[in-house]
Amino acid sequence: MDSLEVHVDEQAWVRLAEQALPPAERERVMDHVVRCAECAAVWRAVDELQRRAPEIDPRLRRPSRRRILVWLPAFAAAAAVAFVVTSPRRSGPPPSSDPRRVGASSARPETLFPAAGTTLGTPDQLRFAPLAGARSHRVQVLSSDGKLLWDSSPVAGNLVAWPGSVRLVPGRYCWQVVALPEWGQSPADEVVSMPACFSVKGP
Amino acid sequence: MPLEDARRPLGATQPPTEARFESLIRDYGRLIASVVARVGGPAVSEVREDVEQEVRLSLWRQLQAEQTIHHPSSYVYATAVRETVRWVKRELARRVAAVPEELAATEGDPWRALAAREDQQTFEACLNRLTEDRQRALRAHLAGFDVQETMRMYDWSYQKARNLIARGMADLRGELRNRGLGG
Repeated sequence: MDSLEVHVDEQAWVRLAEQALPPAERERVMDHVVRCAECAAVWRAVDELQRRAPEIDPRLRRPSRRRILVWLPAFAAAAAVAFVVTSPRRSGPPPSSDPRRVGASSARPETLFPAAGTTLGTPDQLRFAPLAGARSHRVQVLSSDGKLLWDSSPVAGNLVAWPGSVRLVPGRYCWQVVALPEWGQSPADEVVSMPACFSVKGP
Repeated sequence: MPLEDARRPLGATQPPTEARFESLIRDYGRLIASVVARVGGPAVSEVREDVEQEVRLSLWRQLQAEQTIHHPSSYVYATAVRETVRWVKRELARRVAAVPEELAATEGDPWRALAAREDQQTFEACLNRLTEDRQRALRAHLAGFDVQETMRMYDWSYQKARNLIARGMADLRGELRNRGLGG
């Protein structure tokens, strides 16, 4: 699909929706879709039809996903917190933390203390449940508007002292844990915990 | 095919199969109309009956040609995808045709067009220097797809899609800075 003039044909759309396209072919189709406004609109429609079709016929397969994150739809906005730091298109309120994290996939590290939604004085440490088998973990502290305030070096164990470089004033802060899983080959494979946002009270 | 339907072939329809088939057409007609409405606006949802009719007609044509349909629900599903593609394309064409002339005329400035083309070329050159997956993630991002859409497009995990976009953006900024553009 090198040329924008050659749109994805109907047969290819059907095969895509049936998850019958070989991976290389699928990639070619997608490489065209991200460059072509018309096919992008068609993809969105086909994607939605594919996702909703199992409501009509439960035997239809849902779109495949290599690692399904059960909490993802509800927490996508919150999980995008690190993304806010780098993307010019994202702005607005900070990520919302959510106590429903108990339902989160275990295939990710978890923030423990300070817990989401709590109010406290200056926390002396940040404690987390590591991702089993991870090669390394890092801890990130973010401001309430999603700015990265601190990114630790690899942490040994499951806690890290509150960074002296981050001067706390009363307000809202978020933090998260970034793990490089055992299978990870590059930073692109890193797994990030749900961010936990807490408030620091005044004196 | 995404499913196996062990029911009777549709050519020799029995009442239960017919009822099931009718219900599939109706449900898919509704689904197509709602999906297309997201592209074409609420007006499209008012033509649900037309959509259903198109699906029915399309299946009828195929039935005429093939006599027997072995997996009715797969068949209806594939037809629904085809009809969705056709409806969206038709809707997009209708929208393009509806662009007012004065709006289209502003695209006629050759200097602006030249500058835009040069910017586009520089931008493309910067994008092309990124790794393949970062390019993909970034093109999807710049085309307005969100992280979840991008992960479905390329069958990536959420983290992978998000990280590829974030790192791609950082790379792209660096490339643009190297060429004296952006900040």
